[in-house]
Amino acid sequence: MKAGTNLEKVLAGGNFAVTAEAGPPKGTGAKVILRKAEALRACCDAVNITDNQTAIVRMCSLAGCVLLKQQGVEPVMQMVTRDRNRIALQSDILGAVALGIGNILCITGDHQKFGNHPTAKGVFDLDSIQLINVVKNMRDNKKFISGDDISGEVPLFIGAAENPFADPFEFRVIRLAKKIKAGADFIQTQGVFDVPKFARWMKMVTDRGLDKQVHIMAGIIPLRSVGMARNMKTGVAGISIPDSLITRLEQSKNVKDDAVKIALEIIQQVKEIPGVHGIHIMAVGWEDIVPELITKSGLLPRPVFEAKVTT
Amino acid sequence: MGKFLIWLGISIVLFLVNFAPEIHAENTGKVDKAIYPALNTLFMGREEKPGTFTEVCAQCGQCKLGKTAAICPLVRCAKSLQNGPCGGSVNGKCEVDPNTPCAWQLIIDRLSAIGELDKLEEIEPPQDWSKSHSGGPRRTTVGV
Repeated sequence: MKAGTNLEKVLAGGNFAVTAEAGPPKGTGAKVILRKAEALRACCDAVNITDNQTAIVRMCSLAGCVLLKQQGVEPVMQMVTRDRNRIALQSDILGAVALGIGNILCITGDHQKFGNHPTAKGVFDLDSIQLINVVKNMRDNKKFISGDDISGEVPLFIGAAENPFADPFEFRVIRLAKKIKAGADFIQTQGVFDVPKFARWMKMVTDRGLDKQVHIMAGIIPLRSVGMARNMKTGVAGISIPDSLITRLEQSKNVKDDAVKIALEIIQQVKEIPGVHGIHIMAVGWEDIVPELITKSGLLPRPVFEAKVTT
Repeated sequence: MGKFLIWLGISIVLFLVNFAPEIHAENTGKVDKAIYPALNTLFMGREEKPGTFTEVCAQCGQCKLGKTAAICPLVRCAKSLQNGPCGGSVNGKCEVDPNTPCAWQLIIDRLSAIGELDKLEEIEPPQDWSKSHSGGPRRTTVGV
Protein backbone atom coordinates (compact mmCIF):
# COMPACT_ATOMS: atom_id res chain seq x y z
CA MET A 1 0.00 0.00 0.00
CA LYS A 2 1.28 3.41 -0.93
CA ALA A 3 -1.11 5.44 1.17
CA GLY A 4 -3.60 2.93 2.52
CA THR A 5 -6.60 5.05 1.60
CA ASN A 6 -10.00 3.52 1.07
CA LEU A 7 -9.80 4.30 -2.65
CA GLU A 8 -6.45 2.56 -2.92
CA LYS A 9 -7.77 -0.50 -1.08
CA VAL A 10 -10.83 -0.69 -3.32
CA LEU A 11 -8.74 -0.50 -6.49
CA ALA A 12 -5.92 -2.70 -5.25
CA GLY A 13 -8.52 -5.33 -4.26
CA GLY A 14 -9.67 -5.52 -7.85
CA ASN A 15 -13.04 -3.90 -7.14
CA PHE A 16 -14.79 -1.59 -9.58
CA ALA A 17 -14.29 1.77 -7.86
CA VAL A 18 -16.74 4.64 -7.65
CA THR A 19 -15.81 8.26 -7.00
CA ALA A 20 -17.75 11.47 -7.46
CA GLU A 21 -16.92 15.12 -7.63
CA ALA A 22 -18.15 17.84 -5.29
CA GLY A 23 -17.60 21.50 -6.01
CA PRO A 24 -17.00 23.77 -3.01
CA PRO A 25 -19.18 26.89 -2.59
CA LYS A 26 -18.46 30.41 -3.81
CA GLY A 27 -18.50 31.42 -0.20
CA THR A 28 -17.77 30.39 3.33
CA GLY A 29 -20.67 28.05 3.99
CA ALA A 30 -19.39 24.73 5.26
CA LYS A 31 -22.97 23.43 5.09
CA VAL A 32 -22.78 23.08 1.31
CA ILE A 33 -19.95 20.58 1.67
CA LEU A 34 -21.65 18.80 4.57
CA ARG A 35 -24.86 18.36 2.56
CA LYS A 36 -22.94 16.96 -0.42
CA ALA A 37 -20.99 14.66 1.91
CA GLU A 38 -24.26 13.32 3.29
CA ALA A 39 -25.59 12.59 -0.19
CA LEU A 40 -22.41 10.87 -1.39
CA ARG A 41 -21.27 9.06 1.77
CA ALA A 42 -22.78 5.62 1.21
CA CYS A 43 -22.32 5.41 -2.53
CA CYS A 44 -18.72 6.51 -3.20
CA ASP A 45 -15.32 5.16 -2.26
CA ALA A 46 -13.95 8.70 -2.22
CA VAL A 47 -15.11 12.17 -3.23
CA ASN A 48 -13.04 14.70 -5.21
CA ILE A 49 -13.09 18.29 -4.06
CA THR A 50 -12.31 20.49 -7.03
CA ASP A 51 -9.70 23.23 -6.94
CA ASN A 52 -11.24 26.45 -8.25
CA GLN A 53 -12.65 24.60 -11.24
CA THR A 54 -13.00 26.51 -14.50
CA ALA A 55 -10.86 29.15 -12.79
CA ILE A 56 -13.78 30.45 -10.73
CA VAL A 57 -12.84 31.36 -7.16
CA ARG A 58 -14.34 28.99 -4.62
CA MET A 59 -13.52 27.68 -1.17
CA CYS A 60 -10.12 25.98 -1.36
CA SER A 61 -9.93 22.27 -1.99
CA LEU A 62 -7.96 21.57 1.17
CA ALA A 63 -10.65 23.09 3.41
CA GLY A 64 -13.35 21.21 1.51
CA CYS A 65 -11.41 17.96 1.94
CA VAL A 66 -11.06 18.47 5.69
CA LEU A 67 -14.79 19.18 5.99
CA LEU A 68 -15.53 15.98 4.07
CA LYS A 69 -13.19 13.97 6.23
CA GLN A 70 -14.84 15.28 9.39
CA GLN A 71 -18.05 13.77 8.04
CA GLY A 72 -16.42 10.41 7.50
CA VAL A 73 -16.17 10.74 3.72
CA GLU A 74 -12.79 10.09 2.15
CA PRO A 75 -11.58 13.03 0.10
CA VAL A 76 -9.52 13.28 -3.07
CA MET A 77 -7.81 16.65 -3.02
CA GLN A 78 -7.61 18.18 -6.48
CA MET A 79 -4.63 20.39 -7.01
CA VAL A 80 -4.07 22.63 -10.04
CA THR A 81 -0.75 24.14 -11.05
CA ARG A 82 -2.44 27.23 -12.50
CA ASP A 83 -2.57 29.21 -9.25
CA ARG A 84 0.44 28.20 -7.16
CA ASN A 85 4.14 27.88 -7.73
CA ARG A 86 6.26 24.94 -6.60
CA ILE A 87 6.83 26.47 -3.16
CA ALA A 88 3.12 26.83 -2.42
CA LEU A 89 2.21 23.47 -3.95
CA GLN A 90 4.73 21.51 -1.92
CA SER A 91 3.78 23.42 1.22
CA ASP A 92 0.08 22.65 0.70
CA ILE A 93 0.89 18.98 0.13
CA LEU A 94 2.64 18.83 3.50
CA GLY A 95 -0.34 20.51 5.14
CA ALA A 96 -2.79 18.17 3.45
CA VAL A 97 -0.93 15.11 4.66
CA ALA A 98 -0.78 16.56 8.19
CA LEU A 99 -4.57 16.96 8.05
CA GLY A 100 -5.03 13.34 7.00
CA ILE A 101 -5.62 13.72 3.27
CA GLY A 102 -4.45 10.59 1.46
CA ASN A 103 -5.57 10.99 -2.15
CA ILE A 104 -4.42 13.77 -4.42
CA LEU A 105 -5.31 14.53 -8.04
CA CYS A 106 -2.67 16.50 -9.92
CA ILE A 107 -3.91 18.61 -12.82
CA THR A 108 -2.85 21.74 -14.66
CA GLY A 109 -6.30 23.32 -14.41
CA ASP A 110 -8.49 25.29 -16.77
CA HIS A 111 -6.98 28.44 -18.18
CA GLN A 112 -7.86 31.57 -16.18
CA LYS A 113 -9.47 33.08 -19.26
CA PHE A 114 -12.50 30.85 -18.69
CA GLY A 115 -13.05 31.92 -15.09
CA ASN A 116 -14.23 34.98 -13.21
CA HIS A 117 -10.76 36.56 -12.94
CA PRO A 118 -9.57 36.49 -16.56
CA THR A 119 -6.93 39.17 -15.90
CA ALA A 120 -5.16 37.02 -13.29
CA LYS A 121 -1.61 35.89 -13.90
CA GLY A 122 -1.57 32.21 -14.67
CA VAL A 123 1.29 30.72 -12.66
CA PHE A 124 1.99 27.42 -14.47
CA ASP A 125 5.35 27.10 -12.74
CA LEU A 126 4.88 23.33 -13.06
CA ASP A 127 2.60 21.34 -15.34
CA SER A 128 0.47 18.38 -14.27
CA ILE A 129 3.08 15.77 -15.20
CA GLN A 130 5.77 17.59 -13.28
CA LEU A 131 3.46 17.89 -10.25
CA ILE A 132 2.72 14.15 -10.33
CA ASN A 133 6.45 13.51 -10.34
CA VAL A 134 7.01 15.97 -7.50
CA VAL A 135 4.41 14.20 -5.32
CA LYS A 136 5.91 10.79 -6.12
CA ASN A 137 9.36 12.05 -5.19
CA MET A 138 8.00 13.51 -1.96
CA ARG A 139 6.33 10.19 -1.13
CA ASP A 140 8.94 7.66 -2.25
CA ASN A 141 12.18 9.55 -1.64
CA LYS A 142 11.02 12.09 0.93
CA LYS A 143 12.61 14.88 -1.08
CA PHE A 144 11.46 18.29 -2.21
CA ILE A 145 12.18 19.43 -5.77
CA SER A 146 15.25 21.21 -4.40
CA GLY A 147 16.63 17.91 -3.09
CA ASP A 148 16.14 18.90 0.55
CA ASP A 149 14.85 16.18 2.86
CA ILE A 150 11.27 16.10 4.08
CA SER A 151 10.72 15.14 7.70
CA GLY A 152 7.92 12.64 8.24
CA GLU A 153 6.07 10.35 5.86
CA VAL A 154 4.14 11.52 2.78
CA PRO A 155 1.68 8.67 2.18
CA LEU A 156 -0.28 9.76 -0.87
CA PHE A 157 -2.24 7.88 -3.50
CA ILE A 158 -1.55 9.88 -6.66
CA GLY A 159 -4.17 10.61 -9.26
CA ALA A 160 -4.08 12.30 -12.64
CA ALA A 161 -6.59 13.22 -15.30
CA GLU A 162 -6.57 12.32 -18.96
CA ASN A 163 -8.79 13.38 -21.82
CA PRO A 164 -9.13 10.63 -24.42
CA PHE A 165 -11.21 12.93 -26.62
CA ALA A 166 -8.72 15.73 -27.17
CA ASP A 167 -6.22 15.87 -30.01
CA PRO A 168 -3.87 14.57 -31.20
CA PHE A 169 -5.72 11.31 -30.49
CA GLU A 170 -2.75 9.00 -31.06
CA PHE A 171 -0.59 11.02 -28.69
CA ARG A 172 -3.05 10.81 -25.78
CA VAL A 173 -1.84 7.33 -24.89
CA ILE A 174 1.80 8.38 -25.01
CA ARG A 175 0.90 11.20 -22.64
CA LEU A 176 -0.91 8.75 -20.36
CA ALA A 177 2.26 6.64 -20.31
CA LYS A 178 4.19 9.76 -19.28
CA LYS A 179 1.79 10.34 -16.41
CA ILE A 180 2.27 6.76 -15.26
CA LYS A 181 6.02 7.08 -15.55
CA ALA A 182 5.80 10.31 -13.53
CA GLY A 183 4.00 8.44 -10.75
CA ALA A 184 0.24 8.34 -11.32
CA ASP A 185 -1.52 5.53 -9.44
CA PHE A 186 -5.00 6.24 -10.77
CA ILE A 187 -6.54 8.17 -13.65
CA GLN A 188 -9.91 9.88 -13.81
CA THR A 189 -10.84 10.63 -17.40
CA GLN A 190 -12.79 13.46 -18.98
CA GLY A 191 -16.52 12.76 -19.23
CA VAL A 192 -17.29 9.91 -21.62
CA PHE A 193 -20.20 10.36 -24.05
CA ASP A 194 -18.64 8.91 -27.18
CA VAL A 195 -18.21 5.35 -25.90
CA PRO A 196 -16.80 3.89 -29.16
CA LYS A 197 -14.03 6.50 -29.19
CA PHE A 198 -13.33 5.83 -25.51
CA ALA A 199 -13.16 2.10 -26.28
CA ARG A 200 -10.65 2.77 -29.08
CA TRP A 201 -8.50 4.73 -26.64
CA MET A 202 -8.76 1.98 -24.02
CA LYS A 203 -7.70 -0.56 -26.65
CA MET A 204 -4.52 1.48 -27.23
CA VAL A 205 -4.06 1.65 -23.45
CA THR A 206 -4.40 -2.10 -22.96
CA ASP A 207 -2.27 -2.88 -26.04
CA ARG A 208 0.57 -1.07 -24.31
CA GLY A 209 -0.20 -2.83 -21.03
CA LEU A 210 -0.83 0.48 -19.30
CA ASP A 211 -4.00 -0.78 -17.61
CA LYS A 212 -1.76 -3.06 -15.55
CA GLN A 213 0.24 -0.10 -14.31
CA VAL A 214 -2.50 2.36 -13.43
CA HIS A 215 -6.17 2.25 -12.44
CA ILE A 216 -8.31 3.95 -15.06
CA MET A 217 -11.65 5.37 -13.97
CA ALA A 218 -14.02 6.56 -16.68
CA GLY A 219 -15.52 10.02 -16.20
CA ILE A 220 -19.32 10.19 -16.22
CA ILE A 221 -21.20 13.48 -16.56
CA PRO A 222 -25.00 13.30 -16.28
CA LEU A 223 -26.48 15.72 -18.83
CA ARG A 224 -29.19 17.39 -16.83
CA SER A 225 -30.69 19.47 -19.64
CA VAL A 226 -30.60 20.01 -23.39
CA GLY A 227 -28.99 23.41 -22.83
CA MET A 228 -26.22 21.91 -20.74
CA ALA A 229 -25.56 19.25 -23.37
CA ARG A 230 -25.40 21.86 -26.15
CA ASN A 231 -23.17 24.15 -24.11
CA MET A 232 -20.76 21.36 -23.33
CA LYS A 233 -20.65 20.26 -26.93
CA THR A 234 -19.91 23.69 -28.31
CA GLY A 235 -18.36 25.52 -25.37
CA VAL A 236 -16.01 23.00 -23.78
CA ALA A 237 -13.02 22.03 -25.87
CA GLY A 238 -12.14 18.38 -25.73
CA ILE A 239 -15.63 17.11 -24.89
CA SER A 240 -17.19 14.95 -27.54
CA ILE A 241 -20.98 14.52 -27.36
CA PRO A 242 -22.59 12.58 -30.21
CA ASP A 243 -25.48 14.41 -31.91
CA SER A 244 -27.69 11.38 -31.32
CA LEU A 245 -27.52 11.99 -27.56
CA ILE A 246 -28.54 15.62 -27.95
CA THR A 247 -31.41 14.68 -30.26
CA ARG A 248 -32.56 12.12 -27.73
CA LEU A 249 -32.66 14.75 -24.99
CA GLU A 250 -34.41 17.24 -27.30
CA GLN A 251 -37.15 14.74 -28.07
CA SER A 252 -37.47 13.57 -24.50
CA LYS A 253 -40.72 14.07 -22.60
CA ASN A 254 -38.89 13.89 -19.27
CA VAL A 255 -35.37 15.18 -19.70
CA LYS A 256 -34.18 14.29 -16.21
CA ASP A 257 -35.38 10.68 -16.51
CA ASP A 258 -33.66 10.35 -19.85
CA ALA A 259 -30.52 12.04 -18.55
CA VAL A 260 -30.34 9.34 -15.88
CA LYS A 261 -31.00 6.62 -18.46
CA ILE A 262 -28.24 7.92 -20.72
CA ALA A 263 -25.75 8.08 -17.84
CA LEU A 264 -26.71 4.55 -16.75
CA GLU A 265 -26.23 3.23 -20.29
CA ILE A 266 -22.80 4.82 -20.50
CA ILE A 267 -21.84 3.38 -17.10
CA GLN A 268 -22.90 -0.11 -18.19
CA GLN A 269 -20.97 0.21 -21.45
CA VAL A 270 -17.72 1.45 -19.91
CA LYS A 271 -17.92 -1.26 -17.23
CA GLU A 272 -17.63 -3.82 -20.01
CA ILE A 273 -14.52 -2.27 -21.57
CA PRO A 274 -11.36 -4.19 -20.61
CA GLY A 275 -8.99 -2.21 -18.42
CA VAL A 276 -11.57 0.15 -16.90
CA HIS A 277 -11.31 -0.12 -13.12
CA GLY A 278 -13.98 2.31 -12.02
CA ILE A 279 -16.08 5.38 -12.72
CA HIS A 280 -15.79 8.97 -11.60
CA ILE A 281 -19.07 10.89 -11.65
CA MET A 282 -18.90 14.63 -12.27
CA ALA A 283 -22.44 15.77 -11.64
CA VAL A 284 -21.65 19.47 -11.90
CA GLY A 285 -24.19 21.03 -9.53
CA TRP A 286 -26.42 17.92 -9.62
CA GLU A 287 -24.75 15.80 -6.92
CA ASP A 288 -28.16 14.73 -5.62
CA ILE A 289 -28.51 12.43 -8.61
CA VAL A 290 -25.34 10.47 -7.84
CA PRO A 291 -26.84 8.01 -5.29
CA GLU A 292 -29.60 7.13 -7.77
CA LEU A 293 -27.09 6.55 -10.59
CA ILE A 294 -24.91 4.32 -8.45
CA THR A 295 -27.84 2.38 -6.96
CA LYS A 296 -29.36 1.74 -10.38
CA SER A 297 -25.96 0.75 -11.80
CA GLY A 298 -25.86 -2.11 -9.33
CA LEU A 299 -22.66 -0.78 -7.77
CA LEU A 300 -23.95 -0.89 -4.20
CA PRO A 301 -23.02 -1.76 -1.57
CA ARG A 302 -19.52 -0.35 -1.71
CA PRO A 303 -16.69 -2.46 -0.29
CA VAL A 304 -15.99 -1.81 3.38
CA PHE A 305 -12.56 -2.23 4.92
CA GLU A 306 -11.77 -2.40 8.56
CA ALA A 307 -10.53 0.88 9.89
CA LYS A 308 -6.79 1.05 10.27
CA VAL A 309 -5.87 0.35 13.89
CA THR A 310 -3.49 2.95 15.17
CA THR A 311 -1.53 2.35 18.29
CA MET B 1 17.73 38.67 -45.06
CA GLY B 2 16.36 42.00 -46.24
CA LYS B 3 13.21 41.43 -44.20
CA PHE B 4 15.29 40.58 -41.17
CA LEU B 5 17.28 43.80 -41.47
CA ILE B 6 14.10 45.85 -41.74
CA TRP B 7 12.77 44.06 -38.66
CA LEU B 8 16.00 44.67 -36.78
CA GLY B 9 15.99 48.31 -37.78
CA ILE B 10 12.43 48.80 -36.62
CA SER B 11 13.24 47.07 -33.33
CA ILE B 12 16.20 49.34 -32.64
CA VAL B 13 14.20 52.47 -33.44
CA LEU B 14 11.31 51.34 -31.22
CA PHE B 15 13.73 50.51 -28.43
CA LEU B 16 15.43 53.89 -28.59
CA VAL B 17 12.18 55.84 -28.73
CA ASN B 18 10.84 54.04 -25.70
CA PHE B 19 13.90 53.96 -23.52
CA ALA B 20 15.77 57.11 -24.60
CA PRO B 21 14.66 59.15 -21.54
CA GLU B 22 15.77 56.43 -19.18
CA ILE B 23 19.11 56.06 -20.94
CA HIS B 24 19.54 59.83 -20.81
CA ALA B 25 18.78 59.91 -17.08
CA GLU B 26 21.11 57.00 -16.32
CA ASN B 27 23.97 58.39 -18.41
CA THR B 28 23.78 61.90 -17.02
CA GLY B 29 22.75 60.96 -13.50
CA LYS B 30 20.10 63.67 -13.74
CA VAL B 31 16.38 63.23 -13.56
CA ASP B 32 15.46 66.65 -14.79
CA LYS B 33 12.61 65.78 -17.10
CA ALA B 34 9.23 64.20 -16.63
CA ILE B 35 9.14 60.92 -18.53
CA TYR B 36 6.15 59.62 -20.44
CA PRO B 37 6.12 56.31 -22.25
CA ALA B 38 5.72 56.76 -25.97
CA LEU B 39 5.26 53.11 -26.68
CA ASN B 40 4.10 49.94 -25.04
CA THR B 41 6.57 47.17 -25.74
CA LEU B 42 4.56 44.04 -26.39
CA PHE B 43 6.66 41.03 -27.22
CA MET B 44 9.35 39.48 -29.32
CA GLY B 45 7.61 38.18 -32.38
CA ARG B 46 7.81 37.48 -36.04
CA GLU B 47 5.71 38.76 -38.88
CA GLU B 48 3.28 35.97 -39.62
CA LYS B 49 1.67 37.78 -42.53
CA PRO B 50 2.04 41.41 -43.55
CA GLY B 51 1.20 43.54 -40.54
CA THR B 52 0.50 40.66 -38.15
CA PHE B 53 3.11 39.83 -35.56
CA THR B 54 3.05 36.75 -33.35
CA GLU B 55 5.13 36.17 -30.25
CA VAL B 56 7.71 33.43 -30.64
CA CYS B 57 10.14 33.87 -27.76
CA ALA B 58 9.66 34.61 -24.06
CA GLN B 59 13.35 35.22 -23.50
CA CYS B 60 13.24 32.70 -20.66
CA GLY B 61 16.98 32.10 -20.69
CA GLN B 62 16.54 28.31 -20.81
CA CYS B 63 16.03 27.62 -24.50
CA LYS B 64 14.64 24.16 -25.20
CA LEU B 65 13.83 24.62 -28.88
CA GLY B 66 16.18 21.76 -29.72
CA LYS B 67 13.78 19.35 -28.05
CA THR B 68 10.58 20.82 -29.41
CA ALA B 69 11.23 21.14 -33.12
CA ALA B 70 11.93 24.88 -32.84
CA ILE B 71 8.46 25.67 -31.50
CA CYS B 72 8.53 27.19 -28.04
CA PRO B 73 5.82 25.68 -25.81
CA LEU B 74 6.57 28.20 -23.10
CA VAL B 75 5.39 31.12 -25.19
CA ARG B 76 3.10 29.46 -27.71
CA CYS B 77 1.11 27.24 -25.31
CA ALA B 78 -1.38 29.25 -23.23
CA LYS B 79 -0.48 27.23 -20.15
CA SER B 80 3.24 27.07 -20.95
CA LEU B 81 3.03 23.29 -20.68
CA GLN B 82 6.36 21.56 -20.92
CA ASN B 83 4.78 18.13 -21.20
CA GLY B 84 1.76 18.92 -23.35
CA PRO B 85 -0.70 18.95 -24.93
CA CYS B 86 -3.50 19.59 -22.44
CA GLY B 87 -7.03 18.30 -22.87
CA GLY B 88 -8.13 21.44 -24.69
CA SER B 89 -6.35 20.79 -27.97
CA VAL B 90 -8.97 20.23 -30.64
CA ASN B 91 -8.48 20.06 -34.41
CA GLY B 92 -5.07 21.60 -34.02
CA LYS B 93 -6.38 24.68 -32.22
CA CYS B 94 -5.97 26.02 -28.69
CA GLU B 95 -9.08 26.17 -26.51
CA VAL B 96 -8.05 29.55 -25.16
CA ASP B 97 -8.12 31.15 -28.62
CA PRO B 98 -9.47 29.20 -31.60
CA ASN B 99 -7.33 31.35 -33.90
CA THR B 100 -4.18 30.10 -32.25
CA PRO B 101 -2.68 26.80 -33.33
CA CYS B 102 -2.04 24.37 -30.48
CA ALA B 103 1.71 24.59 -29.95
CA TRP B 104 1.88 20.95 -28.94
CA GLN B 105 0.03 19.81 -32.04
CA LEU B 106 2.64 21.71 -34.10
CA ILE B 107 5.49 20.17 -32.10
CA ILE B 108 4.09 16.65 -32.42
CA ASP B 109 3.46 17.07 -36.16
CA ARG B 110 7.01 18.28 -36.79
CA LEU B 111 8.66 15.64 -34.62
CA SER B 112 6.53 12.93 -36.24
CA ALA B 113 7.59 14.12 -39.69
CA ILE B 114 11.26 13.73 -38.82
CA GLY B 115 10.77 10.49 -36.89
CA GLU B 116 11.70 11.97 -33.52
CA LEU B 117 8.42 11.69 -31.64
CA ASP B 118 10.13 9.48 -29.07
CA LYS B 119 11.82 12.65 -27.78
CA LEU B 120 8.52 13.50 -26.14
CA GLU B 121 8.36 10.27 -24.14
CA GLU B 122 10.86 11.76 -21.71
CA ILE B 123 9.45 13.83 -18.86
CA GLU B 124 10.63 17.40 -19.09
CA PRO B 125 11.65 18.47 -15.56
CA PRO B 126 10.55 21.75 -13.95
CA GLN B 127 11.93 24.86 -15.59
CA ASP B 128 14.68 26.94 -13.99
CA TRP B 129 12.90 30.29 -13.86
CA SER B 130 15.85 32.04 -12.23
CA LYS B 131 17.13 32.72 -15.74
CA SER B 132 13.88 34.40 -16.68
CA HIS B 133 12.44 37.67 -15.43
CA SER B 134 12.24 36.93 -11.73
CA GLY B 135 15.32 38.46 -10.18
CA GLY B 136 15.24 42.08 -11.24
CA PRO B 137 16.79 43.22 -14.52
CA ARG B 138 18.87 40.60 -16.25
CA ARG B 139 22.35 41.62 -17.31
CA THR B 140 24.80 40.16 -19.73
CA THR B 141 28.30 41.25 -20.64
CA VAL B 142 29.87 40.71 -24.02
CA GLY B 143 33.50 41.27 -24.90
CA VAL B 144 34.02 44.64 -26.61
